Amino acid sequence: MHIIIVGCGRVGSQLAQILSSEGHNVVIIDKNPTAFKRLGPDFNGITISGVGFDPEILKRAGVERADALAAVTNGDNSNIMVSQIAKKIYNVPRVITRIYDPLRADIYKKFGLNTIGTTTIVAQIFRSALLKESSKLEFSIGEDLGLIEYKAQKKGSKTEGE
Amino acid sequence: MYVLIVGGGKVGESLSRALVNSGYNVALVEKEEKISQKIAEELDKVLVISGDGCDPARLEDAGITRAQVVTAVTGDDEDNLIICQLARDTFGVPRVIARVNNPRNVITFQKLGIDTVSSTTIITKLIEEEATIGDIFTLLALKRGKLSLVEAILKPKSPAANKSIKDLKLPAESILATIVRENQIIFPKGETTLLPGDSIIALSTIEQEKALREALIGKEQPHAA
Repeated sequence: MHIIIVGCGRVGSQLAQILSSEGHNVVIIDKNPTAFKRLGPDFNGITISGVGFDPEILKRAGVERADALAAVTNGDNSNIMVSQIAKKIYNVPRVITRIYDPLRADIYKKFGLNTIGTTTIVAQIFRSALLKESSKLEFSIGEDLGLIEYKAQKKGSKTEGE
Repeated sequence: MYVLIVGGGKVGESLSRALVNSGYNVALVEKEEKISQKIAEELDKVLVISGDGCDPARLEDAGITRAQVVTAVTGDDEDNLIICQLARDTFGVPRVIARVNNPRNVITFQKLGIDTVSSTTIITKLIEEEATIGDIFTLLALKRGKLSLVEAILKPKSPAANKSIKDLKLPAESILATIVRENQIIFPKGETTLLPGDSIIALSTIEQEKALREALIGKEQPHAA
């Protein structure tokens, strides 16, 4: 797959490394060229320095033939803007948007973006870890994707079989 | 009319002042507390809210639900886009206008259905008009730039000089509105003869502006180096 990643922070760089090592064609964009150092020496994808929502930069990254795009810069609005360009103008089949602000994540999910509200997800994980809860965690990502965590129970524990 | 402005930079502040002076009710949202305080002290008729204009709660504090117009004039295009989309799609504001700082983003905004004002584009356009068209000026752009009211001044050698209007081959999508001759206003009829020095005011679609120019004052002259 031809995959574009916008934002080469911790998440973006790791995502790029994983996808690239799995054999995908990865193009990663960041406005700060020093961010590409995070990719390490083994990364064999393409790096482009520039603003991700600039249509010229996206064209250089091959947005017209991209199968998927992930917007993972540290700016929610940048992520929303680049995702809308990819989805609505270039018809990229799969676009995933990371949004920190839970409210904006909800709003743009309603407007049809596949948003991942990482703040809410991480807060929930922490909560259940802190409370040692056995209950499952559920997150929906866009319309067709979800994340569920089950905590395995030891045999003989009192919640077994629930 | 209630107008909500997001962004308290030079554009936002000047716009607030101008609109308040024209009798509008104005609210302004600005992120930087120092700036919002300063504007609140200077413009006591403006409701100034300190906070992030991309946050729906701040927009509600600023009275977005009763705003007829929202304009986002921050220095960040991505913020301006999101503010305008929130205003239009979440709060149902009838008219939203975004400032676009980088002209490369104008097309993105248009494709996403947000009306824009880009000062860079406007100034470039004005300079280009001065530089290339010379004798024809755009007085007013109408219908989001699809239609323009232009003024052309005839020279002795212009193809339309000393001809009557019925003999001119004007493009179909254009019409001569008025002729100004030595400060007299003449409403053009078929028999009216155009003279050198006449200032002709015409309405034309953008596509046919060039053809109109050629019919009135001839082909574009190459630039003097």
